[in-house]
Amino acid sequence: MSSLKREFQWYLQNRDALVAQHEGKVLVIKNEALLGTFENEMEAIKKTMSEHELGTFLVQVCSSDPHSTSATFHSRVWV
Amino acid sequence: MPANPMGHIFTTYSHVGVRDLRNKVRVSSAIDPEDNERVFTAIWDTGATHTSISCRVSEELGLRPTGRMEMRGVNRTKEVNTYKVNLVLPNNVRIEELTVPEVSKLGSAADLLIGMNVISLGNFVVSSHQGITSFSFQCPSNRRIDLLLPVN
Repeated sequence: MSSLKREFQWYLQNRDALVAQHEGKVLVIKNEALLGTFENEMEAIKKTMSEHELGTFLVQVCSSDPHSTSATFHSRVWV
Repeated sequence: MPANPMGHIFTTYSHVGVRDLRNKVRVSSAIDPEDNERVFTAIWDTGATHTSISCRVSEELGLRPTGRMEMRGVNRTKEVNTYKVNLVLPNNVRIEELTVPEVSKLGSAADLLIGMNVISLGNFVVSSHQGITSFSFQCPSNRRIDLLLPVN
Protein backbone atom coordinates (compact mmCIF):
# COMPACT_ATOMS: atom_id res chain seq x y z
CA MET A 1 0.00 0.00 0.00
CA SER A 2 1.43 3.40 -0.95
CA SER A 3 2.20 5.85 1.81
CA LEU A 4 -0.56 8.32 0.96
CA LYS A 5 -3.10 5.55 0.47
CA ARG A 6 -2.44 4.38 4.01
CA GLU A 7 -2.74 7.91 5.39
CA PHE A 8 -5.97 8.52 3.47
CA GLN A 9 -7.50 5.32 4.82
CA TRP A 10 -6.52 6.42 8.32
CA TYR A 11 -8.28 9.75 7.74
CA LEU A 12 -11.45 8.03 6.51
CA GLN A 13 -11.45 5.62 9.44
CA ASN A 14 -11.00 8.42 11.97
CA ARG A 15 -13.01 11.06 10.17
CA ASP A 16 -15.76 11.49 12.74
CA ALA A 17 -13.36 12.10 15.59
CA LEU A 18 -11.19 14.42 13.50
CA VAL A 19 -14.19 16.41 12.30
CA ALA A 20 -15.39 16.80 15.88
CA GLN A 21 -12.15 18.57 16.76
CA HIS A 22 -10.84 20.11 13.54
CA GLU A 23 -13.70 20.65 11.05
CA GLY A 24 -12.74 23.22 8.43
CA LYS A 25 -9.03 22.98 9.15
CA VAL A 26 -6.42 21.41 6.90
CA LEU A 27 -4.86 18.29 8.39
CA VAL A 28 -1.41 16.92 7.71
CA ILE A 29 -1.22 13.17 8.31
CA LYS A 30 1.85 10.95 8.30
CA ASN A 31 2.47 7.46 9.65
CA GLU A 32 -1.22 7.15 10.49
CA ALA A 33 -1.05 10.07 12.92
CA LEU A 34 -2.00 13.72 12.86
CA LEU A 35 1.13 15.79 12.30
CA GLY A 36 -0.51 19.21 12.43
CA THR A 37 -3.50 21.40 11.59
CA PHE A 38 -3.41 24.49 9.36
CA GLU A 39 -5.66 27.20 8.00
CA ASN A 40 -5.11 26.40 4.32
CA GLU A 41 -3.56 23.74 2.11
CA MET A 42 -0.57 25.69 0.81
CA GLU A 43 0.42 26.73 4.31
CA ALA A 44 0.17 23.07 5.34
CA ILE A 45 2.31 21.91 2.43
CA LYS A 46 5.03 24.56 2.70
CA LYS A 47 5.44 24.36 6.46
CA THR A 48 5.47 20.56 6.52
CA MET A 49 7.93 20.41 3.60
CA SER A 50 10.56 22.05 5.79
CA GLU A 51 10.79 18.84 7.81
CA HIS A 52 9.22 16.12 5.67
CA GLU A 53 9.71 15.16 2.03
CA LEU A 54 6.84 16.11 -0.26
CA GLY A 55 4.89 12.99 -1.19
CA THR A 56 5.35 11.36 2.22
CA PHE A 57 2.53 13.20 4.01
CA LEU A 58 -1.16 13.63 3.27
CA VAL A 59 -2.80 17.05 3.16
CA GLN A 60 -6.51 16.75 3.78
CA VAL A 61 -9.29 19.27 4.34
CA CYS A 62 -11.18 18.07 7.40
CA SER A 63 -14.85 17.90 6.44
CA SER A 64 -17.91 15.84 7.22
CA ASP A 65 -19.13 16.36 3.64
CA PRO A 66 -18.86 12.97 1.90
CA HIS A 67 -18.29 14.73 -1.44
CA SER A 68 -15.12 16.37 -0.12
CA THR A 69 -13.15 13.19 -0.73
CA SER A 70 -14.48 12.22 -4.15
CA ALA A 71 -14.78 13.38 -7.75
CA THR A 72 -17.38 12.14 -10.24
CA PHE A 73 -16.80 11.71 -13.96
CA HIS A 74 -19.84 10.96 -16.10
CA SER A 75 -17.82 10.57 -19.25
CA ARG A 76 -14.47 9.84 -20.74
CA VAL A 77 -12.33 8.99 -17.73
CA TRP A 78 -11.00 5.49 -17.29
CA VAL A 79 -10.13 5.32 -13.64
CA MET B 1 -4.02 50.04 -20.13
CA PRO B 2 -7.71 50.33 -19.15
CA ALA B 3 -9.39 47.22 -17.80
CA ASN B 4 -11.40 45.28 -20.35
CA PRO B 5 -15.07 45.65 -19.28
CA MET B 6 -15.78 42.25 -20.82
CA GLY B 7 -13.28 40.55 -18.51
CA HIS B 8 -10.95 37.83 -19.74
CA ILE B 9 -12.42 35.89 -22.64
CA PHE B 10 -11.24 33.33 -25.14
CA THR B 11 -13.06 31.64 -27.99
CA THR B 12 -11.99 28.41 -29.65
CA TYR B 13 -13.38 27.56 -33.12
CA SER B 14 -13.85 24.14 -34.74
CA HIS B 15 -15.77 22.72 -37.65
CA VAL B 16 -19.30 21.47 -37.01
CA GLY B 17 -19.26 17.83 -36.03
CA VAL B 18 -16.31 18.24 -33.73
CA ARG B 19 -16.45 15.51 -31.10
CA ASP B 20 -15.18 17.46 -28.09
CA LEU B 21 -14.23 20.96 -26.93
CA ARG B 22 -10.48 21.22 -26.60
CA ASN B 23 -7.65 23.72 -26.55
CA LYS B 24 -4.24 24.29 -25.01
CA VAL B 25 -3.70 25.33 -21.40
CA ARG B 26 -0.55 25.95 -19.37
CA VAL B 27 0.05 23.93 -16.23
CA SER B 28 2.71 24.19 -13.54
CA SER B 29 3.30 22.91 -10.06
CA ALA B 30 1.65 25.13 -7.45
CA ILE B 31 4.51 24.34 -5.11
CA ASP B 32 7.37 25.24 -7.51
CA PRO B 33 5.53 27.36 -10.11
CA GLU B 34 8.68 28.95 -11.57
CA ASP B 35 10.26 25.63 -12.39
CA ASN B 36 8.21 23.89 -14.91
CA GLU B 37 5.26 25.43 -16.73
CA ARG B 38 4.27 23.35 -19.77
CA VAL B 39 1.51 23.42 -22.40
CA PHE B 40 -0.98 20.55 -22.51
CA THR B 41 -4.15 19.69 -24.40
CA ALA B 42 -7.32 20.06 -22.34
CA ILE B 43 -10.86 18.88 -22.96
CA TRP B 44 -13.65 20.91 -21.40
CA ASP B 45 -16.02 18.44 -19.75
CA THR B 46 -19.23 19.47 -18.00
CA GLY B 47 -19.66 15.83 -16.96
CA ALA B 48 -16.67 16.05 -14.64
CA THR B 49 -17.01 17.56 -11.19
CA HIS B 50 -13.26 18.14 -10.96
CA THR B 51 -10.44 19.18 -13.24
CA SER B 52 -8.06 16.25 -13.56
CA ILE B 53 -4.71 15.46 -15.10
CA SER B 54 -3.26 12.44 -16.83
CA CYS B 55 -0.17 10.59 -15.65
CA ARG B 56 1.73 12.30 -18.46
CA VAL B 57 1.21 15.73 -16.86
CA SER B 58 2.39 14.62 -13.43
CA GLU B 59 5.41 12.89 -14.94
CA GLU B 60 6.45 15.76 -17.22
CA LEU B 61 6.08 18.33 -14.44
CA GLY B 62 7.70 16.07 -11.84
CA LEU B 63 4.75 16.53 -9.49
CA ARG B 64 4.69 14.91 -6.07
CA PRO B 65 1.32 13.91 -4.56
CA THR B 66 -0.18 15.84 -1.67
CA GLY B 67 -3.46 13.98 -1.21
CA ARG B 68 -5.84 11.24 -2.26
CA MET B 69 -9.32 11.25 -3.76
CA GLU B 70 -11.93 8.71 -4.74
CA MET B 71 -12.65 8.86 -8.50
CA ARG B 72 -16.11 7.72 -9.53
CA GLY B 73 -16.08 6.96 -13.25
CA VAL B 74 -18.54 5.36 -15.59
CA ASN B 75 -16.89 1.97 -15.28
CA ARG B 76 -15.71 1.82 -11.67
CA THR B 77 -14.48 3.69 -8.61
CA LYS B 78 -10.83 4.03 -7.75
CA GLU B 79 -8.72 5.93 -5.25
CA VAL B 80 -6.00 8.08 -6.82
CA ASN B 81 -3.33 10.62 -5.92
CA THR B 82 -4.04 14.34 -6.07
CA TYR B 83 -1.63 17.17 -6.85
CA LYS B 84 -1.56 20.95 -6.46
CA VAL B 85 -1.19 22.80 -9.76
CA ASN B 86 -1.57 26.24 -11.26
CA LEU B 87 -3.58 26.46 -14.46
CA VAL B 88 -3.36 29.25 -17.04
CA LEU B 89 -6.29 29.35 -19.47
CA PRO B 90 -6.08 30.76 -23.02
CA ASN B 91 -7.57 34.04 -21.76
CA ASN B 92 -4.61 34.32 -19.38
CA VAL B 93 -6.80 33.72 -16.37
CA ARG B 94 -4.71 31.99 -13.73
CA ILE B 95 -6.34 29.46 -11.48
CA GLU B 96 -3.92 28.85 -8.68
CA GLU B 97 -3.44 26.07 -6.17
CA LEU B 98 -6.00 23.80 -7.77
CA THR B 99 -6.24 20.29 -6.35
CA VAL B 100 -6.36 17.84 -9.26
CA PRO B 101 -6.75 14.07 -9.21
CA GLU B 102 -4.60 12.02 -11.54
CA VAL B 103 -6.25 9.55 -13.89
CA SER B 104 -4.47 6.73 -15.61
CA LYS B 105 -5.96 7.41 -19.00
CA LEU B 106 -7.95 10.10 -20.78
CA GLY B 107 -9.64 9.48 -24.09
CA SER B 108 -8.82 11.29 -27.33
CA ALA B 109 -5.17 12.04 -26.63
CA ALA B 110 -5.87 14.74 -24.07
CA ASP B 111 -3.79 15.54 -21.01
CA LEU B 112 -6.36 17.29 -18.83
CA LEU B 113 -10.07 17.47 -18.30
CA ILE B 114 -11.32 20.91 -17.35
CA GLY B 115 -14.20 20.10 -15.02
CA MET B 116 -17.02 21.99 -13.40
CA ASN B 117 -14.87 23.32 -10.55
CA VAL B 118 -13.22 25.56 -13.20
CA ILE B 119 -16.07 25.93 -15.72
CA SER B 120 -18.40 27.24 -13.01
CA LEU B 121 -16.02 30.13 -12.30
CA GLY B 122 -17.30 32.01 -15.36
CA ASN B 123 -19.54 32.06 -18.42
CA PHE B 124 -19.13 29.02 -20.66
CA VAL B 125 -20.92 29.16 -24.02
CA VAL B 126 -21.05 26.56 -26.79
CA SER B 127 -22.40 27.61 -30.18
CA SER B 128 -22.76 25.95 -33.57
CA HIS B 129 -23.66 28.18 -36.51
CA GLN B 130 -23.00 28.12 -40.26
CA GLY B 131 -20.57 25.24 -40.11
CA ILE B 132 -18.52 26.47 -37.18
CA THR B 133 -18.67 25.19 -33.61
CA SER B 134 -17.14 27.50 -31.05
CA PHE B 135 -16.87 27.69 -27.33
CA SER B 136 -16.12 30.76 -25.28
CA PHE B 137 -15.17 31.18 -21.68
CA GLN B 138 -15.35 34.45 -19.79
CA CYS B 139 -13.82 34.69 -16.35
CA PRO B 140 -14.82 36.44 -14.25
CA SER B 141 -18.37 36.59 -15.51
CA ASN B 142 -19.93 40.03 -15.98
CA ARG B 143 -23.50 39.01 -16.84
CA ARG B 144 -26.00 36.18 -17.04
CA ILE B 145 -26.35 34.62 -20.51
CA ASP B 146 -29.81 33.35 -21.37
CA LEU B 147 -30.73 32.58 -25.00
CA LEU B 148 -34.38 33.27 -24.21
CA LEU B 149 -33.58 36.90 -23.46
CA PRO B 150 -33.16 39.44 -26.28
CA VAL B 151 -29.61 40.56 -27.04
CA ASN B 152 -29.06 44.27 -26.32
